[in-house]
Amino acid sequence: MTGSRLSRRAVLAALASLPAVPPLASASAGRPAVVTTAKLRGGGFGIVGLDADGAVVFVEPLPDRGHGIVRRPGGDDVAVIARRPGRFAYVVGAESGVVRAELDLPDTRHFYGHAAYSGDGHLLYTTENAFVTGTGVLGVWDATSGYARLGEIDSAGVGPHEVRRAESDGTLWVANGGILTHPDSGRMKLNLATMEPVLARVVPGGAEAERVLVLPPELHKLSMRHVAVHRRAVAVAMQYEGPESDVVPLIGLTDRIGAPPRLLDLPEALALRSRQYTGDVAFDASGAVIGAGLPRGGFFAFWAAEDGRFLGSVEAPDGCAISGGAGIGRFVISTGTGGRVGHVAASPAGIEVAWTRVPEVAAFDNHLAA
Amino acid sequence: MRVLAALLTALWVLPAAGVQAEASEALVLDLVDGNVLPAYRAFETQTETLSLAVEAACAEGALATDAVKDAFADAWRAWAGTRHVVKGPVTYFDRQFRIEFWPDARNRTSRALADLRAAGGAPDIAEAPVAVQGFPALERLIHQTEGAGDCPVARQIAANLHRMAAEILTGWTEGDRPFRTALVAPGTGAGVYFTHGESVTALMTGAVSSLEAILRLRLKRPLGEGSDRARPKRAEAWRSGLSLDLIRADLTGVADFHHGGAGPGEDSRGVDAALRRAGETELADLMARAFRLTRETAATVDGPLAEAVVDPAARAVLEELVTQVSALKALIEQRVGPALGISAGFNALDGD
Repeated sequence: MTGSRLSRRAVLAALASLPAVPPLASASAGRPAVVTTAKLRGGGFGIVGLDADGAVVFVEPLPDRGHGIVRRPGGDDVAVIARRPGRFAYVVGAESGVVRAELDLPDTRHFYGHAAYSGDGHLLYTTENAFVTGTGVLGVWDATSGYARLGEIDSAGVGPHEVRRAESDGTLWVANGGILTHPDSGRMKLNLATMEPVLARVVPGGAEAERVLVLPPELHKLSMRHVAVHRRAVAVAMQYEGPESDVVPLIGLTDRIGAPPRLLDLPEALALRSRQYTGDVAFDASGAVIGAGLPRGGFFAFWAAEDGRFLGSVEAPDGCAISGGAGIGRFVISTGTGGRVGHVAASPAGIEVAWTRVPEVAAFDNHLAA
Repeated sequence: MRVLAALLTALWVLPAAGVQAEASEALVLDLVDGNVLPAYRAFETQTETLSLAVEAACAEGALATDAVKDAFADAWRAWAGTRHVVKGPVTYFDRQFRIEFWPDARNRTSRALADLRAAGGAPDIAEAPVAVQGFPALERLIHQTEGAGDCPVARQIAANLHRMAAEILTGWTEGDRPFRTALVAPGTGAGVYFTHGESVTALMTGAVSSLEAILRLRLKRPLGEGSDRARPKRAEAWRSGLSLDLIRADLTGVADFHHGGAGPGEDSRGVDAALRRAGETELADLMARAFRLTRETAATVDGPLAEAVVDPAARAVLEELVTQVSALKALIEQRVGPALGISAGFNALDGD
């Protein structure tokens, strides 16, 4: 019996009876179970590999702050992308952290921070800003020949941030945040009054992205920045660029093209604390649970994918990165300031977390690959 | 024994915590009542004067009179004196963009204004495109005027600016949930803040982002990478020649915020006072000096910014200004924030 054959309801019911304490898989001690980027305690930034107990296996220096991290299917390459508006991206060995390739970006582009591989692992897609025209593109790289640049495709929106591949059918989902920036102005947002976030998709082998979801005008300041996919279910995590005191939905969930997304709510006290800002989103391995990091609120929140009900939260000052872990209801999370990694078991009975402090790390970045 | 030990701990902890809380509340009151509200009152007054001046000129069959130009400059400067406030009523209903839609790389203002001119005004200017409701649109009407024919649109924009200024002020002080209360009485359900520390962080964020905007948008964009690569028309307000005035008003606003509105010779208030209460006298003195030097440098640039960026001698002064504003910003982020117990999160402030 596998998770994917179960209905979400059955999975959720089964979850409630699982042991609450997350297992620390000591069998794989010494092998990197988590690859992420971080600000290092000794100074500078790096790519960090951690084993399942949170012990550091490797640290590879980065020239500046990293951001997105993605594993290549069918191999042990891991691509690490610079934080926007950075221009570096490296491919490293998942076991060793050793750099295998560096992406050579055209002068008129900068990275937006995320990347995804094609299902066969042959291509890597990176979100980029074609800043002369202010249009968003996906750079396409050949992972089979040293990551040569093959070309690019329009992302169908301004400010593409995260791109993720659906494991089930290979579709790429692109969260176009809608916010225009220019390297001359650093990270300043130049078009908040007119921004238009767009969720787009690229079918496998497709040459263009198609717009799938555009928010209604009253929600045009909800910047769709991160996306998680499980089979047909797509979760988008948003950041609101309007007044802090507005309470707006931060996670949208859709599993049918054309249907309005279901908007996931937080209890009011948490909604206020959130500052209307999410930094990462993930499904667990079964697709039954959705988790999100809310660094401005200082917590992670979890919902049932089936009906969108709130399952609970984990306090985590400056916590952002979240990824599905090994097993249903399991997640791996980390904190910025404080440098901690947490193993989460989420179920309708509650959210359990076991934290490990990583002394080599001053602050973990926004994302991790478990 | 255990009870006694707990009590001793409490006795040791409480006074320190009490002092900290009191200091934070005093700081919030200083910043809000000493700087933010007076700045918004000045903005309300100056936009009213502007609206009246436009009415008076148009009644005489003119628009771009000296009185209108002066009132326009005063009102825009008053707005710049509030731009370090980035939370609260100014963010409601897109007001910050309606008051000043800039930078405007695609020139939406001119395009939307052409439509508005052709129509002789809007049925409701508050519902017109964001880009035509504010200072940049009015600047075109006054400084690139097509004459008294521009009066209907100019009167609408000026009156709407005053209305927004008045609404921001009342949003801070009146109604069911005045934003002032959200900041000075956090954790009472009046707003989104739970502690005075959060209120201070929200206010300080604005000071830092104002300095960041001076650097990135107001100076570096027009400066370009050399005098032959300068972009004068990327300067804010180049049509009216107010670019440098607005930068000076920004700096004055942030400095006044830092001092909680205290003038020279008055008792220390605001961030300055909070630093001194925390025993950070040297840092407080350093900040006062940094603000003074930076404002002096801004005062010494000759002529309009659009001309200064192509003049090598003036560029040197502007580059000095860039250095000083950068230093000021770094000092607030790296020294003042930690001294006040404000921790900026690595991911919380990341913006991705």
